[in-house]
Amino acid sequence: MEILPIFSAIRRNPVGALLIALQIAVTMAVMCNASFVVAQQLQRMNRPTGIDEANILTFYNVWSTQSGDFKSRVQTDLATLRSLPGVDDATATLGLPLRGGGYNLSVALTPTDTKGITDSAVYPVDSHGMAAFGLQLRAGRGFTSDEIADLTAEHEDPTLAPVVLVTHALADRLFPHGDALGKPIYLGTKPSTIIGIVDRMQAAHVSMASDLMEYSILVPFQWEGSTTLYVVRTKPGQYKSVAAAIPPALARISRARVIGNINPFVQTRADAYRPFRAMVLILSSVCTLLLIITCLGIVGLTTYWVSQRSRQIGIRRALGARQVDILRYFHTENFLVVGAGAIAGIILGDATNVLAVEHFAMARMPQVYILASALIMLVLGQLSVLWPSFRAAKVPPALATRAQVEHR
Amino acid sequence: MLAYYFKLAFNSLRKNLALSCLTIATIAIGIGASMSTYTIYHVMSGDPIPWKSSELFVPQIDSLGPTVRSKSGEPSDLLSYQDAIALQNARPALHQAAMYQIQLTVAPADPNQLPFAVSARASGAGFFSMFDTPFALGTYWSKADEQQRANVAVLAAGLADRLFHGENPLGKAITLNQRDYRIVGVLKPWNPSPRFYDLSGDALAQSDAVYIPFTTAIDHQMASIGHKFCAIMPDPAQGWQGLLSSNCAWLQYWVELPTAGDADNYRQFLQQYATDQQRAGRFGWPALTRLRNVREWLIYKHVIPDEIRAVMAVGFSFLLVCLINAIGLMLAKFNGRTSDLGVRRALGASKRDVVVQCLAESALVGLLSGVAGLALTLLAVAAERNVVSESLAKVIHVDLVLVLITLLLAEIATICAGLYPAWRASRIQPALQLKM
Repeated sequence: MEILPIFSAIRRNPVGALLIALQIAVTMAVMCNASFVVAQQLQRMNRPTGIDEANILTFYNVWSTQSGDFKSRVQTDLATLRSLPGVDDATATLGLPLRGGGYNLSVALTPTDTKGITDSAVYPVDSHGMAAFGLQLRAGRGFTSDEIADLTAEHEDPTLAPVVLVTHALADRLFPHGDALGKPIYLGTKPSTIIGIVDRMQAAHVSMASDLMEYSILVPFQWEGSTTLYVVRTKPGQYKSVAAAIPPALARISRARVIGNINPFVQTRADAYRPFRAMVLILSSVCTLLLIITCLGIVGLTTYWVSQRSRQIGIRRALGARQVDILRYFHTENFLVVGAGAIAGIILGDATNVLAVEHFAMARMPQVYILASALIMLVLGQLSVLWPSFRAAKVPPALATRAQVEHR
Repeated sequence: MLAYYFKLAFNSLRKNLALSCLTIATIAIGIGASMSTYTIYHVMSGDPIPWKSSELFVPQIDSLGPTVRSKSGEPSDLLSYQDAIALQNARPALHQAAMYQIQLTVAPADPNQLPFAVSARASGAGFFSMFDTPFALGTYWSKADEQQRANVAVLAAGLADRLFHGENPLGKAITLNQRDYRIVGVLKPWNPSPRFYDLSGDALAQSDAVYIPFTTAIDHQMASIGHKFCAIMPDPAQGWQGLLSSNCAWLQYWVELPTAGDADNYRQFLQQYATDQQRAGRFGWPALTRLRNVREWLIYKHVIPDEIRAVMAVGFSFLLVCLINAIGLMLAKFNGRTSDLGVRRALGASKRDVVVQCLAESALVGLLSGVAGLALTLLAVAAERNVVSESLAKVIHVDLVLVLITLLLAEIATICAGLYPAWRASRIQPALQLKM
């Protein structure tokens, strides 16, 4: 192979090769890190909440009065909501996965451990809670209606739940041997017995920590406050008609209230992950542009080299080199230059990730991202050089015989 | 002489139109990508109250104890009711205010209009003087109003327009949670961004629609819709009074301390106060207090998420790649002009003259790239507005400072990229070019 002449050609005019290698290195460092971030964000965005996302509607109800018999009002509202055609079930609570609200409490296994083992989201729900959220029960049972106590702004202590439902992830965290059912946990100083384990229900606030996001507890309380979050689960495909029926039905009971926007959960999910989506879109479009610019750079510089060396190419052709030899020359040259850039890119990309881990809360990037982007760079390099090398191969041998030709 | 160089540069651009356009486009795309990501950072890193940001402080007192403290070991951002009242009484500063966010229903006077809910702020009157909120009409409520727990309100511009359609609302009543409040003031549009005085949720959230006295809200037992941190839940049997006498932290508290001396004194007072509370047996842990001004507060609260910095880093790496590309393109261009540069050298131009001539051409390319880059930045920011969170979309815009930064960055970056090609061009042997 003609590697040695390529080296000497590069050595005589190293700047062009250096520029391409440098570009490749920076592009690669950016690309592997950005694609890692994008992959992580996509994975976070796709985490299921565990609730029946396709059929859930939620809205805030705000009573116009600060005080009053919220208990009977909430119960009347819920009975009305449950009786609407197309409604499966409804409940009143304070928070919703991805929509925020609710409580965040530390969970302990002894009454004296005030720091707790972990934090968990806590949702107060009545005996319809499981059905209204569409949760899957893995073991044990749900709340019965006689277990439900009142929770009001004046009597607000969710730690006093005698029985609780916990998510499978939380049960495993607290009781790694899988024997959580029937065991007491402490949200405050009083014990709460785990009577059921729910497959999955995410915490209310979107968090980067994937474990915390899965820790939720349901406590048997009917929330009776001036602001209530109603959760309505509709029969499949009927959320539009139900959403339209809710405001007039509730207005008929009482007009001393404000009903917030009725959000299908699909919307809640889109809103919650909007910043994630924005980041994915911005990063991937910048990366795509970056790749295009880098490829164009390779095309441009190689075309320029070809025009500079057209006389030498002509001489080689006149001395018997075939067109395929010329093609091979430029592709090999590109491979060497891009390869050198890719090696620098591996080091630079890894160093960037190390920095990001140190200064931002980033995870360590798996090696596969670096290797894949190195491979992509090599392939794109070869593709970019196709057209200039084709032009080079077309240089007629007769060109060598002419004295001095400016070829641009 | 410089004018002559620019004329030469202009001619050269025209002669190498394709290559020049490619250079300009490459740099402009790099500028567009980097500046559009920088715009987000610029918006979020702004000082929301630059004339006072070193004089406004958040006092923090650890009323929750080590079990509830975050991993960083910092005290809670919020104060308990007891502590807020104690600070107010024991150490009056130039201005101060305890505040919390509430939700109120507004019943329009027009019975055909449906009631609606707004976010409101219960706050001491110090809020308005501390933050220099601009009043369109009237002013904030009086000390007497606060003491009498009067039903008075200050409206934000948007709500005043919505309810009164340009009529003067001063002295009129607004029905909030079925109680009538007398309107004493209307603000001009005022949306400090980030919303430094309440960073508990979205840092870019809009300001509240109504303000009522803190004392009135407490009197009406209006619950906060913000965070509430408790080490021990207040005794439910005691109801509202239980919350007020608990150590639960749920109030924002700001003080205005005009001089560094004031701040030092206040800091000492704060520590002394917490130590006294510990001695009195209220806190079973060593006193832990902080006093941060607006700028320190924004940094402490991590207002700019890491993601924004990461995206910005990607944007500027992109610019770097574009510049490397531009170096290649400029090399190609100057190489194509060896003959006329050679003639200039032969006619007596020094190497330095050639360098200056080439740099003048870079400067011209930089100027054009800057203009094109600015256009791309504006386009990219418009696109960003469609994808970022709604609150960010509302505040993100390209201001005059950003325009200047864009043009300057393009100019400096292009001249830097042109340095090496210019130096190369100056080394052309004059004799070689005359042999033709």
